[in-house]
Amino acid sequence: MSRDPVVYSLAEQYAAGASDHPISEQSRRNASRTLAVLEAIGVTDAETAAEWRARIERLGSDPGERALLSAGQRALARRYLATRGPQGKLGARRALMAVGALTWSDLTERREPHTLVVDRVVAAPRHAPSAIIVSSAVLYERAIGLHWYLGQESWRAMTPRLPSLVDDLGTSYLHVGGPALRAERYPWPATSVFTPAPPSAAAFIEVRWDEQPVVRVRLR
Amino acid sequence: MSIPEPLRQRVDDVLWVELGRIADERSSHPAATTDAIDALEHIGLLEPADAEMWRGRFAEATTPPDPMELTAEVRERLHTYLTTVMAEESRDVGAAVLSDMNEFRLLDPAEVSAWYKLLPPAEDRNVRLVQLERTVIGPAGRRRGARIVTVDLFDHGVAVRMHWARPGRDDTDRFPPLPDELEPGARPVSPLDRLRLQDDVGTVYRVLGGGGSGGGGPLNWDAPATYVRVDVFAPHVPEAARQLVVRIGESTFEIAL
Repeated sequence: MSRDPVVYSLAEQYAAGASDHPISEQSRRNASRTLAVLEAIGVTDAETAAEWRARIERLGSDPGERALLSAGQRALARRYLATRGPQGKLGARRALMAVGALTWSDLTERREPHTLVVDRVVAAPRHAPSAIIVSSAVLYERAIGLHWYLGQESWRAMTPRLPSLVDDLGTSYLHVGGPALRAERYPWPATSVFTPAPPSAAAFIEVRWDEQPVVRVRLR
Repeated sequence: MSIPEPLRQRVDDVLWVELGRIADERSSHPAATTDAIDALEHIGLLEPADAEMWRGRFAEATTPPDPMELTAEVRERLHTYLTTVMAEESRDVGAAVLSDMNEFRLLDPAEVSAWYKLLPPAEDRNVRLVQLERTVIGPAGRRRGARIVTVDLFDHGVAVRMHWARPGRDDTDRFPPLPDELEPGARPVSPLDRLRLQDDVGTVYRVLGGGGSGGGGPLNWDAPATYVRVDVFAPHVPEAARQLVVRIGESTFEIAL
C-alpha cells in the first residue's frame, strides 16, 4: 500500500467511531459526509470510499463471527494471552476479543465497572449554593454516584477539588471516578463516584467540601 | 489455510481500528500495538504475508503523513465546496468540516484560519445555570442500554443526566439483561447518540453543551461497559409544562413534571 495520507486519516476517524461503541448516529453522519467530500473533490476514488462506507456500517452491529472460530483456535488464543507480558497484553487481548477468539468470561482479570447496575436514584434537598450545588445521588449496586454542579467559588479558586462523603454509620468512602470539571461556565455539571455502595442500613449521606458539610441526602 | 470471508473481513476491520489508534496517538508503545497482529497470526487468522504487510502499515502509521499535494482542479473543487458550506451550514457543521480538511491535510493551518473567519457567527451560549429549582428523578426503566437518571431544572436551563450500560457476555455466550432493562435483546443505542429534549407545550430547546465519560474498548462487544453523560439545554422549562420527553437514538423517555 502506498503511503496515502487520506487512508491513514480515514483510519483515525474510523478508530474514533469504533470507540463510540456502538457507533453513534453523529459519527456515522460525519464519516459519511467526509467520504462524500473526499470523493467529490477527487482525493479518493469510488472504490476506496465504498470500502470505507461498508467498514463504517459494520461498526454498528455485533458481527457474530465467533461461530466461525474453532474450539482449538479459541484455546490457542487463551494460551497465547497467558504468555504475554503486561505491555504486549493489551493489543493482543483487544484484537482477540474483537474477533471473538476470547470472551469476557475467558479473562482472568475482569474489571467490571462499579457503576454497571443502577439500584435507585435519590434527589438531594435544595440547599444554598456554595462552592458546589448537589442535585442527586445514584445508588449503584457497588458504588454511589454524586451529581453536583461546580459553584462560583470553586470556579474562581481554579483548583479543582473533590467533594467527600460520610454517612450516619461512619462508612469510609473512596473517590473512584470524576469529576468532569468544566470551568468555562458556572455552575457546570460534574459527577463523582465513590465506593462502596452505602450499606442498606444507612439513613443518609452527608456531602462535604473542604471538610465542611454541604448537604445531607436521605437514602430511605 | 482458508479463512472464512466474514472472519477475514473482521480481522481487517480490527486491524484498521488498531492502525487508526496508532495514527491518532502516534503510539510510543509499538509492542503493544503490533501484538494484535502477532496474536491474530498465532491463532491462524492472518497469513504470514498479510501479517508482514500489516506490520509495515503499523510502522508507517507511527509517523505523521506528509501533506497532500493537490492539483489545481482539486483545489478549485475544494474551494467551491467550502464556499457552499460557509454559506449554507451552521457554524458547528462548518467548523467540523474545516477540522476534517485540516486532519486530512487538504488545508494547511493558515488556510484553516482564513476559512474560520468566514464561519457564521456563534450562537450566544453564555447561559448560566445559577439557581437549581428542582430535580426530577427519571423513569426507573432502561431502554436499549440508556436510562435517564435525573433532570435538573434550573432558572435558565435544564440538565439531563443519562446512564448507559451494557452487560458483559456471560459463560453461556449470552448478554444477560440488566435488571432495569425494559427492551432486552433490542439493539442498544450508542451512548454518544444525540439526545433531544421536548415538552408538552412546544418549547424549542437548544443544546448548550455537555460531557460524558466511560465506555469500553473499540470493537469489544464482550466486556461490560458504562457511560455517564449530561446534556445542558436552554431555555428553562416553562411552568405550564407537565411532561418532558427525552429521546436518544430509538429510545424515548416520558418524564412527568
